[in-house]
Amino acid sequence: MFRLALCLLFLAAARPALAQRAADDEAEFFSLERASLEETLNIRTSVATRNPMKLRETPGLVTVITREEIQAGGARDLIDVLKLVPEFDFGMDVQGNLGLGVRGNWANEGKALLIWDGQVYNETLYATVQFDRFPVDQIDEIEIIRGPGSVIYGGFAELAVINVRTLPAKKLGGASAFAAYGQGEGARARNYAGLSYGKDFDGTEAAAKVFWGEAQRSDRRYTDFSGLSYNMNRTSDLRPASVNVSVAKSGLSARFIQDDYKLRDRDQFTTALATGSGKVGFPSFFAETRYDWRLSDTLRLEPKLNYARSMAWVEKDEHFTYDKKTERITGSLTAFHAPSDEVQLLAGGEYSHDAVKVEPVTAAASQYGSGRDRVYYENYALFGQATLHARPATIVAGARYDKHSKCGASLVPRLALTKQAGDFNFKAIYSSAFKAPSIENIRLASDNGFRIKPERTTVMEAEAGYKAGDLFYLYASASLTTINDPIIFYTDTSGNEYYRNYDRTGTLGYGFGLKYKNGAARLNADYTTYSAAGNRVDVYGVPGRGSYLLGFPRHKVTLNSSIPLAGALSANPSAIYISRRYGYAGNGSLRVFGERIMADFNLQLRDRPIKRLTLNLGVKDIFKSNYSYIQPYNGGHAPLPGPSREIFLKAGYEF
Amino acid sequence: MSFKGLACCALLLLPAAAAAGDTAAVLSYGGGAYQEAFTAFEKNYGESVHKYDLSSNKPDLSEGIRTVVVFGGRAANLRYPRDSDIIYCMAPGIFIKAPGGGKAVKISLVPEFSVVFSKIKQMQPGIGRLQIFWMLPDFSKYIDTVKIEAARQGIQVTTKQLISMEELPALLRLLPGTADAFWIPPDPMLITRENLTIMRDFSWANGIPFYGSTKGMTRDGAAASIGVSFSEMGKAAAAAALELRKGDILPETIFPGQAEITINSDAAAKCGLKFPRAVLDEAEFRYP
Repeated sequence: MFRLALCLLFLAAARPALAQRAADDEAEFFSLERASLEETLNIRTSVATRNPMKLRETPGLVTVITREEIQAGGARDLIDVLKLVPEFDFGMDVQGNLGLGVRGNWANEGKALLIWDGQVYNETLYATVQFDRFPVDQIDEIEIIRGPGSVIYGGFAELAVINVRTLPAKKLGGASAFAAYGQGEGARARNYAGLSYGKDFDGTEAAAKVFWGEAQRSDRRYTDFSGLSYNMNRTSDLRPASVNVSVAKSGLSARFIQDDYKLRDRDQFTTALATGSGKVGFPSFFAETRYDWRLSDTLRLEPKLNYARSMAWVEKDEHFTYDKKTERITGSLTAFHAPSDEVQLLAGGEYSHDAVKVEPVTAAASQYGSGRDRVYYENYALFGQATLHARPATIVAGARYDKHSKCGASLVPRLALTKQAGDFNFKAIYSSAFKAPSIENIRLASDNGFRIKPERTTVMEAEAGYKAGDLFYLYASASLTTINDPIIFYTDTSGNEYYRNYDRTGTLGYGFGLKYKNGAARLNADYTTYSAAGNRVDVYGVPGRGSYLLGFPRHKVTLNSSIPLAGALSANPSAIYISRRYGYAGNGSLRVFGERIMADFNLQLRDRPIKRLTLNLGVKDIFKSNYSYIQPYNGGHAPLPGPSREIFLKAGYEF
Repeated sequence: MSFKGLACCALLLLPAAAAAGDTAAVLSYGGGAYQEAFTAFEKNYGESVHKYDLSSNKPDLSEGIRTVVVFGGRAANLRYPRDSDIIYCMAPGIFIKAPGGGKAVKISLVPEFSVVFSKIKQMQPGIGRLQIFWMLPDFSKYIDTVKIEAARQGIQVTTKQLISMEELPALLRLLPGTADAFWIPPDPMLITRENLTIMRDFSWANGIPFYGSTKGMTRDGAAASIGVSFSEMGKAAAAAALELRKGDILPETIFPGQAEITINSDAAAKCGLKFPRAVLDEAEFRYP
């Protein structure tokens, strides 16, 4: 009897356990089948059209970087992530800031759009992006258009669009925390921490993310063109901090971001400071409200209101004073209409109002020549796009009309043909794009008697891909980028500084690559090459080397992989090879910067020794490449050393 | 037994031994639901079958293989010998393709639609309008059958294929006043933890029952599910393999005979449903 009771007790206890295990098996089954179906090539992305399409059909050369890839690689910041994109490189601008190069073209001031949770992070004074300010561990996914996106995204999307989404409330499902520490060869390289909370409260999704960090650009020695030299340890601080709060219910959503990024620089613009260092800030506040208004099964409207307030490049110390407060209010209404499975239409309008207030403490050279301390601009835009899924091909055609109150109008069309035929896919894209002059572009032009107009870019791109079996995908691509009337900073012989439109620049590029994915194991290998095409901008060119543009390599190879080891451990090596680059070396002479290999290695351990804990231990720049960021124009700034070899440790925990 | 008898038995067994070598199973992953289905397949097939587990090795199938049973989408995506018969099991969303001279059949993850809708009608006698959401292109070919079978139960079906998961909340918001319930087929693109939460929350808040097609969906908030267990799928695959070996002609999709009913009384109560006794007795699993 006792044995019978014991058996019954065992069975009673076992039944819920068995039911739970069966339910877990089912959840695992659907998860695995979804991964099989989605797989790397058929991830649906909406960045190029605002309507989700399969990656291999979307009318743009698009890269999707998942959270899993970012975390497995042990990325320290957004630069670590983006440097692995074949078309991207980083160069030196001024005052310790880095800028992006796209397909060999300098894309720093308003040519590459960065969107973080729907907020445009290009500041409106110079339209630059500060890539060191972003908490990479909050990222859920990054969608990148490796080409123009002006038709949908407007005047900062001339050469690329980087659309970053952080973990939404539902995916957070509670609280999580992360912390990291990096030790360079000569000094501590960085430490940062963050806390996130998100949950769905009976239909109301709410999330809050807090981030704080401190790092330094380098602990190596910097030498300017005059020979002045200093150790960058403790003179190249980078201090990001942000709070990101969002709430959404029944289609209505709101978001607020307070982002306070500061850096310390001693390199300045050309000659470094003999003593001391400058402190430059980029405090920003963003607010957005948006409504997803579903009128019918086929028609959806999206009204949106954005507010951004910023004090980019603010500096109030003995070395330089610059204090300009900007505000941008943007209202937009976009309609999405899908009358059938074959046709999708998008149309919209956008209005933005820019205001800038120049504080009296600002240095005289940075004030308005007319003495004004407040200036206002307005911009109107109408855009539309149609997608037709026809039997021969998918056709996407669109255009945008943009009118700036000071700089005139831009009309940019786009036409794309994409075709997926069995294991093959093809894309042919013609895009026209523009870069709207920023507030300081306009000031420095008009104060010196120049009329500045938007840059105009045309890009022709083609890509062919082949799915070779279940595990491999191969692709080849080509692009021709022509930038007319590029807006470039110039200092004349009298020392007057201004922006003006130059003649023309551009590049011709090719690339090919391989993706391998087998369960948890993956490998991405890419080769890209660019040469200058029709460049008539002397400050970008390399005298005597007509196929080169300053600062960027002509050849780049990237390798990024993940190798599952025993249990929950994975090894994640990555490497970047760049060919020689050219930069100035003082006295107006050119210097060759030899080829480099930057290799990183990261070990990741998940759910060990306790569940929901993820540990990363990595070495960055294993072979001590001594990489430096070169200024991709003849601006008088010496190459800025990058970080030294670094041991990096990161831990993340989901409560 | 005499020597002659033994010899006859051996001769009778030889074809079976040869036939066992003609059949192979390829699993996308070695454990969990795939193993459960394979175990049931092997038991009902009556013979031991060579099993390949893609998570550890790639199958090396010769042209002499007569029947290949694949479990899961990853296995379904491989190429198989030209003249082999292929049975697709647990591969939602995969368009089946006969490799060459062989035949191809697919085991459905739900029972016959007539069974599905008759059960829903039994659970919710007053239902007149049912909304169906799905994402997998593969499901489109069943839409006409779905509408006909539902109509036979007096249920008017409206269908909507989602292009992306982001559409789901807005589509659900259109249901009040237009549908008495909604049903989700076993669609891995649509069945995610987040989406199940969205559907459950909407269903409970609006009193519109949500019917699923798997046990897990009911555990996670559906009022009930009418589905097929993984074991039953394996069993159906075994029956199909035996019939193909005999040379029978089979339909493209085979619906397993035994439905698995799961109910969630709490979810049902939140939607104003009270299951009849017959449904309670028939349910294999009850939540909470």
